[in-house]
Amino acid sequence: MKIKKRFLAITVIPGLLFLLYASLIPTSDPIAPITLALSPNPVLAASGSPSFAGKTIRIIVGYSPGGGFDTLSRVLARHMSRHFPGNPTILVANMTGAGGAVSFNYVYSRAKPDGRTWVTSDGALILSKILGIPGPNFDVEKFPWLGVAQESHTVCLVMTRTGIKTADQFLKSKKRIRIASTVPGDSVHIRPIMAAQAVGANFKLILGYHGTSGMRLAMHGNEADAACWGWQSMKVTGADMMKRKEAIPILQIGFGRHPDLPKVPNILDFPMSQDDKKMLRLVMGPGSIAKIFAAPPGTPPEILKVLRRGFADTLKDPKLRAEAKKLKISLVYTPPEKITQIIKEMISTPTELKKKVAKIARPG
Amino acid sequence: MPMAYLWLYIEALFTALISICQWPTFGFMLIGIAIGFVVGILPGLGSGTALVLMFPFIFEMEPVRAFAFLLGMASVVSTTGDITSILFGIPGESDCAASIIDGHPLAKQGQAGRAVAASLMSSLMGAIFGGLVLTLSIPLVRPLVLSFGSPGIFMLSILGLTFIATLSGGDVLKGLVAGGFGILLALVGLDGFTATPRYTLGQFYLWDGVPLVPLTIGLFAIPEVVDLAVKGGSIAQASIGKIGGVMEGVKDSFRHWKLVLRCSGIGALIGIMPGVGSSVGQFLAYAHAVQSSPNQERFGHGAIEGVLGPGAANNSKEGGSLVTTVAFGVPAGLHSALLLGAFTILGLTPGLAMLRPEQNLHLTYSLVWTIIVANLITVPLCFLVLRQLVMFTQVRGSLIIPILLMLIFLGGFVNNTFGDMVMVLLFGAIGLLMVNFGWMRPPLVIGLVLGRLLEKSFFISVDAYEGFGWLGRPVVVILLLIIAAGVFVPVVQRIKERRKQVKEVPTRWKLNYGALFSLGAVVIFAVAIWNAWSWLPRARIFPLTIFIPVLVIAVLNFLKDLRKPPSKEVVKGTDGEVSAQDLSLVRKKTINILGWIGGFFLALWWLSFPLGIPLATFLYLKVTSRESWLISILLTVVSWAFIEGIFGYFLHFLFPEGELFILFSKIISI
Repeated sequence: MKIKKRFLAITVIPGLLFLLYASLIPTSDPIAPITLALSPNPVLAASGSPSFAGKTIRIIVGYSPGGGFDTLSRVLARHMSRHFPGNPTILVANMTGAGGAVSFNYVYSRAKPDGRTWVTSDGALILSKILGIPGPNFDVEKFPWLGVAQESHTVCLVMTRTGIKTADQFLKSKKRIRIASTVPGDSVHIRPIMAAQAVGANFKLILGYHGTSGMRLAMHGNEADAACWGWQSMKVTGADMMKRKEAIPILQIGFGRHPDLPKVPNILDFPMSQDDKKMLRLVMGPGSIAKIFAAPPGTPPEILKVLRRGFADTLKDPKLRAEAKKLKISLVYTPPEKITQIIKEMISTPTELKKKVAKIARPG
Repeated sequence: MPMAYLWLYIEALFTALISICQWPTFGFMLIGIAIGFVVGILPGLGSGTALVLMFPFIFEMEPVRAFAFLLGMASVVSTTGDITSILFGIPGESDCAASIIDGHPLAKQGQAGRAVAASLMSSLMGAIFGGLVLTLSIPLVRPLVLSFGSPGIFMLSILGLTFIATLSGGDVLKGLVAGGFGILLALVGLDGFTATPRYTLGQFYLWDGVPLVPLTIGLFAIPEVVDLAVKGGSIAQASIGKIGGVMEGVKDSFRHWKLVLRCSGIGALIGIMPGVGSSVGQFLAYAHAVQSSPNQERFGHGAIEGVLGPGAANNSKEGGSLVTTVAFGVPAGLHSALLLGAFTILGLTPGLAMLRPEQNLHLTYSLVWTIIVANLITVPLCFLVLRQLVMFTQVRGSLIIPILLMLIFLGGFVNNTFGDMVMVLLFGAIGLLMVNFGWMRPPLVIGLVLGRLLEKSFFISVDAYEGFGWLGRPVVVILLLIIAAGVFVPVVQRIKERRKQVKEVPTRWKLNYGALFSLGAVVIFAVAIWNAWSWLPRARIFPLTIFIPVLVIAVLNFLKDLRKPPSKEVVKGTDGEVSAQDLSLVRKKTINILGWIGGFFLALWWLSFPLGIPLATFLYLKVTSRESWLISILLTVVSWAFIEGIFGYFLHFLFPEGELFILFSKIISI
């Protein structure tokens, strides 16, 4: 009996406290599931102009907490509210699975198109859809994009102990160059492999490392001679290696030269066949839409307009820019029209070339 | 000159201690500890999520304060997470699952106080050891990690797998089959070399593999709930002393100090190795505790060593994994990955500068001190509230079961997808059957956590060193010798002993449920092999190499079960004669609780968490437990407040939409 009393005391008191708390704050919205089901589109008020007053917008991130996507989304979320009518609360939720595809599918086919659920994902998912690889279940041309917040410009970093000093030596080395990589189809795999194919470089891809940090460790431990990944992360995570001249950026695999690296040659500077060039452009495409944001298809145009404007304004926000600088996150803003154009170019690649790339990205 | 240099190290060590003891740094650490305390205890609230939510607060802080805040939290979650594992059989954190295996049986025997005390003390010792490792290994860490490399990780995985035999609880055949099944589960998903979807059953959800947390929760916690419901009474079936032998637990950790130190070492080593994963250390430590014990039969039934080992390892790993993070900027686990993010925010670059006394070494040492001091504060604090915590094991089961079910489903909900719930249920069923037919569950988990690692590190080694030259590396040879010493010697001894024993008289061949379950295992491996046959070579080599021998073992095991029905685990407290009436009551109760587990699942599926859980809780309390209206309503409100408040309001959990609501809104829109 005594135990029962004590047990009740420790469980009931916090419960009652919470009730009090919830009743004092109107936004707690305890019957949200019911109201959500009953009202067809709460954002579009009767007056016509969309307002998110008192509402919550969720950005669904297809990757685990603390990763690149998660950090970027959380930084954006902190500064977004003031750029949307009604100043909604912006939240980030992680829904992992199948390299981000689970969250993409969820938002494409299950989320309500009321502007309150978005998804952020990797441009690579769009590539795999274009390549016809089974998995992500969406129509690339029907997804309403909000914008891109970050690009990924691939750069190859080579250990100086190999004696390689120029891109020419890197691409024409007689000795095999071991390139650390993660999983097939990932940009750290497919871009160096397509580059090697285009110019006949002697690369051996070592798959299986855990993220770019695993690849870096492999370079330190002499399991690999080089690795290629996004400059946006390399200039932070590879800073120590580059500062101590253990490794140097040797080659860029992206559209043009990155402003930070005016002297490092780009793979497209080297002679190659038209087909190889097309395939390279296809696999480099996702780099320009690396961190892409989208709303569910069927979102009413007037809401979409507000979302796109808010997204664009957020990325111009000086406060966000300052915070991103502190976090060493490079931001860009790519508008939806530009995204559609990039995706169209990727789709227009001849089918037999797409098949070739698909075979490398997904051999099994 | 070296003396002067050493002096610099010592100076950095003390500067660091002073810096974290200063106000307000110390205050930030206390806040961090308070958060960590709660995060550790609550299943479903992972330390990763908590760290991410704490991030925005560190932007304007000085590095030492920011780390005291973040690491203060991160270094105590495993300490308090063990408490939930022991008391309720539900892992409070993903790296506390191994504490359930022996900790929860102790709680059931009324020795919750002893188990928790032992776990707390070993956690403290582990944390201090991990801190020491971090301190002492700083000059050596780079060569140490680099000399290990992928071949070292491969040998380490092999060493881990050899523990399967020890963990089999006397039935090595079953242990090996279970271990093989664990490896099979580890291979589920897109293969890392050819992107072949292996054993994904056409399910997208499985592309990333079988998630560990829902699996361990299903495997370990569901059978405990069923057990509690069938036996009736409270979790603690007996009461020993006032709070179940707290002093005894403290003494235990000193009595087995060598084991605690060795397991701390295992935890720190696994922590240092990047890419191995934070869940591996606890299970290897547990396995080591079993292996090094003279009487292994006690394990799984409440051996205190089985609590001490994981307790020490999951705390010492923090120090270990920070070593790699600081030295290379390569995070070895989830915590260190997030802390690495904090480095960036604070404008620090991991690397040699963090290891040099004339540069930022004092910062690195402040991390060490935070781990140690945070645990020095948390552990006594836990002892203060131990009495209240242990009380939960004495509350009658009919009240506690709905709460446990809520924690089970919440705890399993890690990827924000409904598939997690299905996993909890599926592995709950497998766990129940395994317990019922005398299969040990730890080998399965070992197989799961090591399977992928084994395959990956093997192929990386072959690719990176072009062949098998790496087999001659000193690390590989040393680990090979350890494996040989640790495994083959006791095996040979046991075979000798067994020869002396009189052979059992074989019973008649008879098909029984146990044998049917074993037949199921045979079928699974046969299908797995048949499936793998058509894959690309890289994708099939590993599964075929492992599963063909496992299939043979599974067949042998099936034949053995046909001859001698495995003894059903006797329900404790009812040993003695079991009347037919009792049996039918047990059956009734079992069906009842299984129905409720399914009911909770359906409620979640149709109504989602915020409505489903309170409703199911209320119905359970009113219908099965026959509690009074007052208690039923109060507990229902509490469960609702817990879900809406902590998970909905504070953590903004993305609960899946209830299937009924979706249907409903569709009807309305038509």
